[in-house]
Amino acid sequence: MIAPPPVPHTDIAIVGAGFAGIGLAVRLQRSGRTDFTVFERASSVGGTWRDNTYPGVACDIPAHLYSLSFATNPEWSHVFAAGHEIRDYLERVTDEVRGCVRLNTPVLDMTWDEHRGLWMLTTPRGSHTARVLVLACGRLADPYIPVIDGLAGFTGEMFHSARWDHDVDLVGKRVAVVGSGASAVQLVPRVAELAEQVTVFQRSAPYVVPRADREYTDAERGLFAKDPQEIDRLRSQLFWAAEEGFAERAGDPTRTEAARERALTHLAASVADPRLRELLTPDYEVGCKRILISNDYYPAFERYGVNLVPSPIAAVDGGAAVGANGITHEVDVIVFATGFLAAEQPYAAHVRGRDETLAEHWAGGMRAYASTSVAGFPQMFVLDGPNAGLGHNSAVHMIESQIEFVMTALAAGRVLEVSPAAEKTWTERLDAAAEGTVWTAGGCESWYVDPRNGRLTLLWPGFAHAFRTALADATVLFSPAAGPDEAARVGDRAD
Amino acid sequence: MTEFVMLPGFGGAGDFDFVAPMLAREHTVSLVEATAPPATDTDTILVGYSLGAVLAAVQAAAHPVRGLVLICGWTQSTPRLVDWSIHAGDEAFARHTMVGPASDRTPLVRPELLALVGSLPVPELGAIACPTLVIGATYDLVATAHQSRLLYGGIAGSRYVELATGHAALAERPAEVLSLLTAFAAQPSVDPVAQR
Ligand SMILES: Cc1cc2nc3c(=O)[nH]c(=O)nc-3n(C[C@H](O)[C@H](O)[C@H](O)COP(=O)(O)OP(=O)(O)OC[C@H]3O[C@@H](n4cnc5c(N)ncnc54)[C@H](O)[C@@H]3O)c2cc1C
Repeated sequence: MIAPPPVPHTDIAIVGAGFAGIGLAVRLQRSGRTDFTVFERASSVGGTWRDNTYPGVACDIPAHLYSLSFATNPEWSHVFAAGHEIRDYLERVTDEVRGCVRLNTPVLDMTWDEHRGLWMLTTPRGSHTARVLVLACGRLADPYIPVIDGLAGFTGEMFHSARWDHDVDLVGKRVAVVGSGASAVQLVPRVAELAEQVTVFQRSAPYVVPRADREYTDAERGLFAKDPQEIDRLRSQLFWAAEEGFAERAGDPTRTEAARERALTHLAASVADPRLRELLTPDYEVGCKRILISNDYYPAFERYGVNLVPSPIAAVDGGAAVGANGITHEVDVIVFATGFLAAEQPYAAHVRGRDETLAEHWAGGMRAYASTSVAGFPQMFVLDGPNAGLGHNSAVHMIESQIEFVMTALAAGRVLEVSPAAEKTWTERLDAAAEGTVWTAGGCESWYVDPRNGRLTLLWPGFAHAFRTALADATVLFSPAAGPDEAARVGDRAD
Repeated sequence: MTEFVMLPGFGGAGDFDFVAPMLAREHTVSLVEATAPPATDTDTILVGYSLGAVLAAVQAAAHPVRGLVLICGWTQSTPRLVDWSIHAGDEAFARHTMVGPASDRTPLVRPELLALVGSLPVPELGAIACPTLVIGATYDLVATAHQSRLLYGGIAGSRYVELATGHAALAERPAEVLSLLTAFAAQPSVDPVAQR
């Protein structure tokens, strides 16, 4: 009998190689830690920016802000960088830690071994143990396709916007685009340039405001390269300007009205046909869903061959897509720009803590202390998870706030676990803050809200700078002086 | 819940059109026109911007408050400032001299308030005893960051932080000012620079 090979051990296991996983890995490495491993199910890093290659994909927060503060990039070509630039950037950032990244390695199961005080990770390429588990699996990583009658029998080609099939030539085709959210707004104008006919199925009209994009000049890029502080200055300016956007969504009617005006003026200036304009006018409060930016989405509908169907796709019948009004549209290709599994993260079913899976723990909606630590899941952190998203500012800033929380907690060097009381207090405070806001009461159906219970679980209902302060304060829990009841106390005090 | 009293600058109440409603979500806020003396007590956090900062400093020297925030203020009207106020009736001139190099914002200026510059009282800085946050602006061509630093030097219990804006800090970076005010209200004695 040959003894089985020993299970390899890593001090810190990071699951996922997007902005969050790679960002944390670089921070760990630079702080002198080398014993960490990043597990990524796909064959390359980049997360969102590896998966989304649809025509027109780009960030809608300025790229200089939508990047890591500790790995800035003087080379951004435009204010809003194209998706491939962001992907290339993340590949370059990864170079610093590439030796610690395991590609093609989905983590299928993560189980806390109470007896040994370790996490057990199962992958198709073998098992691992780890002292600390970091879930950096993303929030918009698993495409969602609605259940549609007859879809399986569709005779044409179909794919999701985050799994774009570049082998399908759209030139001269009749294309249905299902959805009118952030991805659709970017891809519809590009598809309209190629296809013979585009039919957009719109469940609800988005608010769209002008996109102030421009190319950076050679002089600007040269200055960014020679003087990195210039990037820091720009980032600071962009950050605080973006923070003002929160006022439109919370509490300041003058600003809300101004935002609505900006969008409706943009619509009026872009679309002459009054009937079309009416169909493109949102029927909910501005800010309830992400406010989108585009200069070519509205004009696309004035092109010959571009149709707007003001309903979800109700059924598919052979080669036809059928709207809720019963009208059929013959199509060759269906593109699903229908978003992602957000409220119920697929990874949660595969994480087993002390007494239950994370999916069970989150049956009433995602929750965590400081958006990052979950009761009953010792030595575990979740990045970009519960209430860590944002509509008005950079997700990377939020992720970095969490990375700093993790770094501080790790430095404390003790068993890191929060009490149920701490998690509860934190969650109740957030639920109270979300009550009556535009996200829960704005009259829209958005992915920020868990449809099972109406809780706002994917969005932080505040300023990005307040998230950073709240998380910095929350690390008190991990200070050596903190007693067993500290968690509850911290939860009570934070505001 | 803190009670904020805010004294605006040349734009009048509009100077605080972002900060005031956002603060009012969790605190009580009253705005006082620069021409009227503010009603304050020892629970008040008194915030003054530009010429309002001078008046706030005068008030805090005579009537103790819980905390004082002086944004782009000055210790006394300099010849430079008086000259500027004479020319700032010209909208384009005011706009370009009030914002920093990277800003596209348009600050408010009410011409009748410009005339106050020459006749402002001079605050007795040594008499200000409360925790004070002085906010200067790197590209302030109007009052200058140096004047803010003199306020910092003259007020014993003061802290200093500098924003990368022109004199129109509230038009250029209202959210950053808000974050400083929120942090100050929570802990008036904490150094904002260390905290960042
Ligand atoms: C089209 C699009 C545009 C966007 N634009 C913006 C924008 O402009 N501004 C903004 O702030 N935000 C934007 N976002 C949100 C974006 O998702 C975040 O900004 C950010 O990229 C999230 O990074 P992440 O590392 O948390 O997750 P991801 O980038 O999703 O990375 C998660 C990684 O984990 C891997 N993974 C998941 N489960 C497992 C497992 N079990 N085992 C191994 N690996 C696993 C995935 O393969 C993936 O690589 C956009 C999102 C989309 C979809």
